[in-house]
Amino acid sequence: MSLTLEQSPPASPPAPPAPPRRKRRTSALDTGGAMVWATAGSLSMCLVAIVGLLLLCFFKGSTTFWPQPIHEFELTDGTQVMGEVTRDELFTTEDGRELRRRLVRVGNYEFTGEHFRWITDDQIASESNPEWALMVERRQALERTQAGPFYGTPKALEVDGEAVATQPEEIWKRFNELHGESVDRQLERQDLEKHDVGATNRLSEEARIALREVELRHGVDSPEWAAQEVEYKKVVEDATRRYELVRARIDHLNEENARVRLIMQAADGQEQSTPLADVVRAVPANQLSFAQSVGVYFSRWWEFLSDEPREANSAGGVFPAIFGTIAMTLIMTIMVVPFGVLAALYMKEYAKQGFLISAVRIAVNNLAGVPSIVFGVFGLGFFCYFLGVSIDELFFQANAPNPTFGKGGILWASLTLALLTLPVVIVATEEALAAVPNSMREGSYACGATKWQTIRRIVLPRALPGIMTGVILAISRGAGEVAPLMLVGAVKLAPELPVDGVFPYVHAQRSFMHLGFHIYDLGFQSQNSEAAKPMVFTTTLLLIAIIVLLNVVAIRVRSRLRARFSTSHI
Amino acid sequence: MRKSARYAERAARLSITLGGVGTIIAVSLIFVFLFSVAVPLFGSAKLDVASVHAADKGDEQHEVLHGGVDEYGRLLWKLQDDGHLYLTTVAEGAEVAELDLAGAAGAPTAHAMEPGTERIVLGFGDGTARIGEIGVLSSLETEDEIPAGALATKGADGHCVFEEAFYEWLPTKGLVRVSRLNAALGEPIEVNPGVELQLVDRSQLAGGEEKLVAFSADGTLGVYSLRARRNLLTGETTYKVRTSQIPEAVTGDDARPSRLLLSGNGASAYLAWENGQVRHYDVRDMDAPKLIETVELTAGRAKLTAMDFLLGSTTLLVGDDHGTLRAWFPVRDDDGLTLVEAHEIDCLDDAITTIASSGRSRIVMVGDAAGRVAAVQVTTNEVLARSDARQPVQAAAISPKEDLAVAFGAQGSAVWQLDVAFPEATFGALFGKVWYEGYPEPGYTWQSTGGTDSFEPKLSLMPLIYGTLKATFYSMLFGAPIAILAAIYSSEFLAARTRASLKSLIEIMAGLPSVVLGFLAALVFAPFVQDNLLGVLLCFLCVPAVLLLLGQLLRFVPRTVELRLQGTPRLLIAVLSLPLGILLARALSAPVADGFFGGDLLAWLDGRVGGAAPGWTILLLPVFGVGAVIANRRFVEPRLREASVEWSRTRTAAAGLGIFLFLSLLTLLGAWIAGSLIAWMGGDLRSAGGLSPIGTYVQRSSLVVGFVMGFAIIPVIYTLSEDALSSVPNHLRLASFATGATRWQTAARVVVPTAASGIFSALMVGLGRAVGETMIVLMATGNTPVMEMNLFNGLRTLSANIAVELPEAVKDSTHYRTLFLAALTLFAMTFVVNTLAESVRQHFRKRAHQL
Repeated sequence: MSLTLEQSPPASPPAPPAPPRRKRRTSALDTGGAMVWATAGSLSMCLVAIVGLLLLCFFKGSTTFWPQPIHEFELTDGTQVMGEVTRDELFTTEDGRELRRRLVRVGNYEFTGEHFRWITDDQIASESNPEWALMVERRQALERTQAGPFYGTPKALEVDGEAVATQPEEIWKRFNELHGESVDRQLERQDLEKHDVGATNRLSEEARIALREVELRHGVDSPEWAAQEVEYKKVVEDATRRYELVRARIDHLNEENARVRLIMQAADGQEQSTPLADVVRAVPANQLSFAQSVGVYFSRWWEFLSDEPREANSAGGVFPAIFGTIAMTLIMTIMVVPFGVLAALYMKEYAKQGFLISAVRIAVNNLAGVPSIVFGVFGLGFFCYFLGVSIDELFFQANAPNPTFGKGGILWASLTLALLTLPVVIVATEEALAAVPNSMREGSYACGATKWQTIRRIVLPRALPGIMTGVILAISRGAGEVAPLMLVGAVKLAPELPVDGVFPYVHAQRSFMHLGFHIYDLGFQSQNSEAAKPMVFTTTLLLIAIIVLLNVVAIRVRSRLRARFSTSHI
Repeated sequence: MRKSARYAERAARLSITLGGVGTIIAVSLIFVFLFSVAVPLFGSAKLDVASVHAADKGDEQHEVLHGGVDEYGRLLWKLQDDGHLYLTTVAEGAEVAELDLAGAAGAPTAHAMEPGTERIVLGFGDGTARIGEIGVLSSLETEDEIPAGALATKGADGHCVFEEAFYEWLPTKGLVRVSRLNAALGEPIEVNPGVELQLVDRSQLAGGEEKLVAFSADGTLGVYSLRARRNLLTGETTYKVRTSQIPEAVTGDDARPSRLLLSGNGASAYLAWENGQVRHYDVRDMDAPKLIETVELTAGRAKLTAMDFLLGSTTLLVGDDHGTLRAWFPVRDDDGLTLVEAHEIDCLDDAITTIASSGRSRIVMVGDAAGRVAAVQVTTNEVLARSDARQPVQAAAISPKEDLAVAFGAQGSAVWQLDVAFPEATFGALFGKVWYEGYPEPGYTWQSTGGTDSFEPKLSLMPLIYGTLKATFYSMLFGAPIAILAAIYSSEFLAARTRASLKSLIEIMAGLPSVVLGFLAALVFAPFVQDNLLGVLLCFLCVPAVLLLLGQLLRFVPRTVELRLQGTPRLLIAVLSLPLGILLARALSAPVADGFFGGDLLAWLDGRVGGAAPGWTILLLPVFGVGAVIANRRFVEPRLREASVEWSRTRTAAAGLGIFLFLSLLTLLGAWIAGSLIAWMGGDLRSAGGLSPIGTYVQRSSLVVGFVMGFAIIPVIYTLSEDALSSVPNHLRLASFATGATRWQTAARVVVPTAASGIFSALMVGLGRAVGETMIVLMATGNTPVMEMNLFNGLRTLSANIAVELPEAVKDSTHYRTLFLAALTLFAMTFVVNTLAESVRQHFRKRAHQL
């Protein structure tokens, strides 16, 4: 049956008499055929997939930080292995037997040369959970020893080379007393290295650039240059002196920290001595109460949210990535909202509606479907290589050949994403403007209001929720987009945040870290991908949470807006 | 109107217009900019006369054997057949230095120079050969370091010639570049004592070994392996020579050969005669060099007038007396190496006298006896530019930076400014088949970077476009039906409130970053599929089968119950089919693997076990399935419907179930029989390549991409088609119900046809999304630029390629611009698809409005 609405009946010849109508009843076949089941099945598959995916991410991401029990295996070949079980599965051996195998994070990389190890059940002679098994998360700060987890039992706590405790309970007690001080010293040292040493370096670098500027402007032979060189030497001398002072303080802290060491014994008997300052956290995982586990869990979450990454991003936190994502999204929003709204206002309220403007409208609509990587290519070619290089040539010649703006950076990334999300804002704003009934505009004009007054007082307030929805959708799209960022400035590790306490506070040229890029990088470029995997899940969970939150807000705003419209039409 | 209001009005109008128009312009700038970067790729090369020098340097009586230009394009050198070497300036032709290279040994009787290097070998009348190098050595010095005389003779244009050296003052203050002739021959190597060497060539092998081939006046062709030994005390280099003669190379009466070349890897030697015949010797084995083949290098009766290697010393370039240049290279086939003619370029009109290869690309400078020269890109068969040297060309050269071209003749040298533009990326090379060196046939290849200096970038966009379309095809194949069916169910069978909340859930899905999906695809799904490939494939069969079976079974329940099960409860029942289908697939996978795939699907896909029949069966299954559905609707259903009007519910349900099972079995059986039949006739999909969807499995396969990207485009298609379906006016539905149609009949025959254009536009938007998706394909495929439809193989899309390669591409290089072209292609593809979608949607809106 096809649908034809205006079918004029044939005029002639007269229709033959209709055949006698046969009795027809609906068969059971017509109600719920296979196709209805296919449609229902499709929809439920979609829902299952979405919910499953969200649950998977939630489950995998939220369990990462829960402390796991530490197992000690004695293998049939006599070796001892200690670690956390990260995967547990059945597999079929070559001779057809089903066997259980477990992937054990063994840590102790300096001894074992491996991070993980598969242990099948037929290798195991005995298995236990020793009470004083300790998982020590180490960083490479004080000594360039191996970082990463160490599994073992505490052997001694040494101060100045003398054991002050040798029994596990005692060691644990003393460790908890001393660890806080060590970490404080460690933090102070980090702070000194980052800010004070950085400041001295910056002073001499700035002086060098000033000298180079004078050289470019007046030449090497000029008296200005000579004067500047004297100045430069003075600054460098001053900076060196300051550096010495800071260095002395750092050395002192290092010495203090090197005094207190934790001696651990691995399962195979080898001993490892780690300065307390390099211990991020020690977890006696097999004797934790539930409350203590919760404590460890949240302390790890806090580290994740507030700290910088360690060990090639596979441990530690993602604070710089969170910061970068938020900063980039903010700059993007600041750029995209005014221009998107202006463009929509122009197209809807000011431009003469005609062929041209509808062509522009279609083009803008289409632009929303242009792949994001194309925007990335544009951003790299136009912003970084064209605009950025021009800016460098005009203002940052002294810094050459190091590019300042002529490379990927947070400003260029934000601008690229602003272009990418511009169509979303324009389309949403236009729709919101169109939804304002014309009668309201006319009423306003009738009161003698000018066009701008009408727009400002009548149209924009009504359209605001719609515009807000568009903006939120644009933000959520921008926050989750990764492909263009790979070209215009996201990096795996940025030493400095794009906003900090150093003049001019906002460093728009700096490259930055991004949660989405962090996921890509961790999942694909990491050398220790097995260890990075839980971190990727957690990062994913974080990103999804941010974006789902934004989307939920957008959907809420939209439904409210719809509700308002349905009342306003009465 | 108040003044302030008027000003505000004006200001607002101005700023909104400016901002609006500016934004629109900025947006269109994207296209303009991409275009402006990509378009120079197609610009043509130029050869402009820079300077012509009279023959005051050197001697008109002597022929020029080889010539060259220094790295900075300032100095020219030429080697004459009397063994004299001259260094002159490019700009004025002033002599810088002269050197009698061979000295007491006299004029060389044989000579060869390796393209793109400074290495030369000369043969002499006394049967010795000498290896050496000719080049220009430059060093940077400060003004205080150079001799005072040079400082004194500094010209107004910032350079001078002083004591056999060329001084050029650089823009950086006080820095001078000093260039000197750097030419020397090594100690004589006794090759064929006492017998004049007529032809000679050499190449440097890995490990410091030198290989030499020489043809002597007595008709012997020898292969010599030299290992340099440096005496630590005296600093002298002596050679340890191993000699091997090729027997009966040329007997007394034969015509004398005119050319001899040894390939860069030391494997093949080519001995050529003027009539175009060449003998191809395999000289890898020093103890037993052997003749592989004899080939006619020129067509017809054309004479071979020039022969030399292309950069990399693998491709033979042969010029004939009709001005045609041919490129031959050895290709490995069943019986070893054979020469194939890959390129034929009509570049000049008279006999080609010299072929000079560039040191950085596959461009050669060709000169003829009539004095014409041409710059030729060999791989793309393109004559880049032609010009006139006004004298028979004896030798030619291209500068290392490819900015100058030189032709040497009896009356001096002519220099051109060369602008090669982007010769590797012609339209033909980007979109057509190109025959690259060493490949058995012309093909589409993308390989932008390589390890060696003589690597040639292969920039065909076709594998990338193919990969893009392949990824799109598989993801649409999976995602589109599910999305549309789901949209139909939610708009036609669900209550408005449920629909709204489901829609928001799916929209959240649409907002999920694709990097998350890509990560899950690559690190969770791909390994899972690897371990359970057969189970996953069976799921695609089992889950729908279980779903339909559930539907049939539910017909047995009483009508009152069935009515209550519509809408949301039906969804929940349908969800059941997933675990049941997965269980079924799990249970089936072992017996199916043993029964059809020789116990191991991966090995079967690789072609190691089992026969061809299952492959055809898989391919034919959908065909037979559709056939069964059509047969059912055409023949079975009308009759059943007719009959079932009088039947009880249970009986109808039983009949339906029976027919369903029977038809399913028939489909499987039919596909299996037909598949076996085709397999029996021959043909195996696994090794077919090309369009065959079955082949060797890799972990990051198109299957994973199809599944995950399909999943990613479902929300887009779903939302838009749901909108289209919902905007069909309700009175149409009501009218349909009023005529007695069921919900499904109304949906299938009234609502969907009305919304068809809207659904089509939703599909187009989904397609556009799939075409441009980057992160999923980047992470979930192996990024291998192959052109196969194989579902189990990887692919490389335009977008992933850009993401991988653009950060490393040098700005404004051919590679960089080609990637911009790729972006432009992507832009154009999505723009066309989206415009289509948009115009269809506009049309649909208008129509839906009229209804």
